[in-house]
Amino acid sequence: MLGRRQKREKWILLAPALAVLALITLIPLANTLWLSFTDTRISALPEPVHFIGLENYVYALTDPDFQEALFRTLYFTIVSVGLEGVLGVAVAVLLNQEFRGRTLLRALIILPWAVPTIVNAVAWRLIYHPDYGALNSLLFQLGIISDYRSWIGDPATAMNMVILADVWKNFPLVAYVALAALQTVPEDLSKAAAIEGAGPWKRFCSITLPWIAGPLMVVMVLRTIEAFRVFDIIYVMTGGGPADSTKTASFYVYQEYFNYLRSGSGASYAVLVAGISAVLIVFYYSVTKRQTAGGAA
Amino acid sequence: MNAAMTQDAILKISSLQKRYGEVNVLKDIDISMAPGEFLVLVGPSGCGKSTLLSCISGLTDISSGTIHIAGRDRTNDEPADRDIAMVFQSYALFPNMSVERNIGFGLEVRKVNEAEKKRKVAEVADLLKIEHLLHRRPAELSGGQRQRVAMGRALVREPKLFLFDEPLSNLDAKLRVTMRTEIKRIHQTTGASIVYVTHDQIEAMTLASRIVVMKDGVVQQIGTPQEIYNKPVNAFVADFMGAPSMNLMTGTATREGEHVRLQIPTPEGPPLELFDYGPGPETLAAGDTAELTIGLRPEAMTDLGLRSGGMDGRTLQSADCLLDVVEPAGADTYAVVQLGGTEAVARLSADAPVAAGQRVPIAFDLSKISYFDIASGNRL
Repeated sequence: MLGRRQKREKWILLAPALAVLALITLIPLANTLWLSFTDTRISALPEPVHFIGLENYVYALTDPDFQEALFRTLYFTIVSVGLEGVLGVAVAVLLNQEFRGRTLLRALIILPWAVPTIVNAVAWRLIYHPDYGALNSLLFQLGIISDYRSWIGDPATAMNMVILADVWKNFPLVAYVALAALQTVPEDLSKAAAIEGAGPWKRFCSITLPWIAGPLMVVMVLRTIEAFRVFDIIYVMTGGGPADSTKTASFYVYQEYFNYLRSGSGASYAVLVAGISAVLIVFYYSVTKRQTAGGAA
Repeated sequence: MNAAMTQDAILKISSLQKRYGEVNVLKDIDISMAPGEFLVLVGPSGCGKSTLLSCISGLTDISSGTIHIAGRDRTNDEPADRDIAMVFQSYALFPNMSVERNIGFGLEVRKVNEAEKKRKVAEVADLLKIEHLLHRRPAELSGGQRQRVAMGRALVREPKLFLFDEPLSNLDAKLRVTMRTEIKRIHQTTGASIVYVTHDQIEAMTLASRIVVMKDGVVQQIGTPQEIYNKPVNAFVADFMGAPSMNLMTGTATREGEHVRLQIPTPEGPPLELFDYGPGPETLAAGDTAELTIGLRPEAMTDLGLRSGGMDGRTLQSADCLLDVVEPAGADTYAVVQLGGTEAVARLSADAPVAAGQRVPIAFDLSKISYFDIASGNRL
C-alpha cells in the first residue's frame, strides 16, 4: 500500500499529464455535451444561447437524412473492414509461405498503409478519373467496359469506389498483424492436423484461424472504430457526394457544424456517433475477451 | 533374423535416402518391422532419427527409396492417407478445442457419425483414464494429462502404425518413468505397432522389442535390447547404450593355446592381466598379439571378490585395482579405475567398504567381454 505521502506524490507526478488530458479531451468532451443541449450557432456576432434540453437529439433521431448517413457509415464500415480482414489474412498467409523475395515483398506490402490518407485519396481520385483515369483505361482495354465512366461521379458506384480506396490503404495493417500472429502458430499443430487427415482449408479454419483470432480481433476493432468515424478520405475524394451517396455520419456532423454553422445540433450528432462507436467497442471487447479466454495456451 | 517379409511387415523401409542440398542426412536406411513390434529409433541429436520418423509419416519427402506400410507402397502418399498416427514431443494439441474434440478430430475430419465418434472417444478415454478431462481445454491440463490426450488422439483412429516423436522429453523425470510404463502397458493391451524416437537409451532399452541405433544418418545396429546391450556391433553402440556406458579400454590381446591373454595398461605400474577362455577376438590367430579396444560394462567389474572370495578363475577373475574416485549412487557404488587410457567405471554393491585411494580386488566377468578394432571401432 502507498503511504499518504506517496499518494500525494503520485498525484503531483500525474498532474501535468492529467492537465494536458483534461485540456485536449475532457474539456472539449464536456463542452460538446453541453453544446448538444443548446441551440448554439457559430457566428461572428455573439448570439443568445438557450438550453433546449433533448430537442437536438429528438430532431437528430427523427432526421431521415441522418439515419441514411448512419446506414451509409455502417455499410462503409462493414464492407471495408470485412474486405480488409479477408484480404489482410489472405495476404498474410501468402507472405508466411517460403519463397524467394519474401522479405522484400513483406516490406513492400506495408507501403499503402504508410501513405497519408489524403495522398491516397488524391491518388485514387486520379485513378478513377472519368477522362484519363487508369481504371477506365484498364477496364476499357480489357474490353470489360465500352465507355469511360465517372466512377465516383455516379451515386450507384461512388461509395464502393471509396471503399476500394480505403481497403487498399488499410489492408496491410491487418496483413501485418495477421502475419505476426501466423508466425507464432506452432508447426507441430499443422503437422498433427495433417496427419489426422485435415486438408489445407480445414487446417486453416480449425487450427490457424482460432490461433490468430485474438490479435486479429484487436486490429479489426481498431479498424472498425476508424472506419466508423471515416471522414478524410471522403472529404478529399467525393466531398460526400454525388447526391449525398457517400455522406457518412462524420461528414454529416462536419456539415452541420461548419457548413450550416449549427454547432448545438452538430454536437448532438457527434455525441450520437460517438455513442454508437462506444457500443461497437464494447461489443468487440466482449468478443475478444471470450476468444482469448478459450484461446492460445 | 528378425527382418519380416515384405508382405507381412507392417513397415518396410528400403534404401531410403534423404538429402538436404548437399547434406545427406539419411543414408541407405533399410528397416523391416513386424506387426505388433515396438521399434525404438535411438541415437544422439542430429543422428537423423526424427527425420526418419518424419519421412515415415510423410511430413518430409524422401530423396530416394521406398516406404511400405502394411504391405502397401506409401512412398508418395500424403500423411493423411498412410494410415498412421503420430504423437509429438510438444503434444501438438489444438488449444481452441476441448479434449474430447482433440481426440475426435481425426474422426471428425473423416466424417465419422456422431454416435460412433462419441463411443470411440469414450473407449479411448477409458483406456487412458482421462474421462474426467474430456470437457477441458489443453491449457487446463498438466503435462502428463496432455501426453495422455495426445496418445488418445492417436489411438482413437486405430491406425496401422503409431509414430512417437520423443513423447516423454517434455515431462519431468518422475512423470517420464510413469508414462513410460503407461506406454508399455498400452502397447501390451492394444498390440499396436509403434515406431518410437528417443535420445534416451534407457527409454529405448525399457520399451523396445527391437532397437535401431543411429548415428550420422546411418543405421549402426538393429536388434533386441539384449543384443544391442550385450553384443554391440561397434564401439559407438557400446558407448551410447547403457548408463554408465561400457568401459572401452585400450589393451593388447595375445592368443595362447586355449585362452587369450589380455594386458590392460595401468598408470601406477604393471598392466592388468586377464585371461579370456571364451572365443576371444575372431580375427586373432594363434600366437598373434594385437592392440585393440576391450569393452566391459560396469556391471562386469564388481566387488564380488570382496564379498565372497569365490573366483572360478575362468569367467570370473579377480585383479587388484587402485580406486581413483568412489561415487555412492544409492543402489550401487561406482568406482573409477584408471585402466587402458580411460576412466573405467566399476559397479560395486552399495555397502562395499571401499574408499578412494585403496587397492581393492575387482571381479572381472569375462563372459561379458567385447572386442573392438581400434581404428574402425567395429566389433571383432
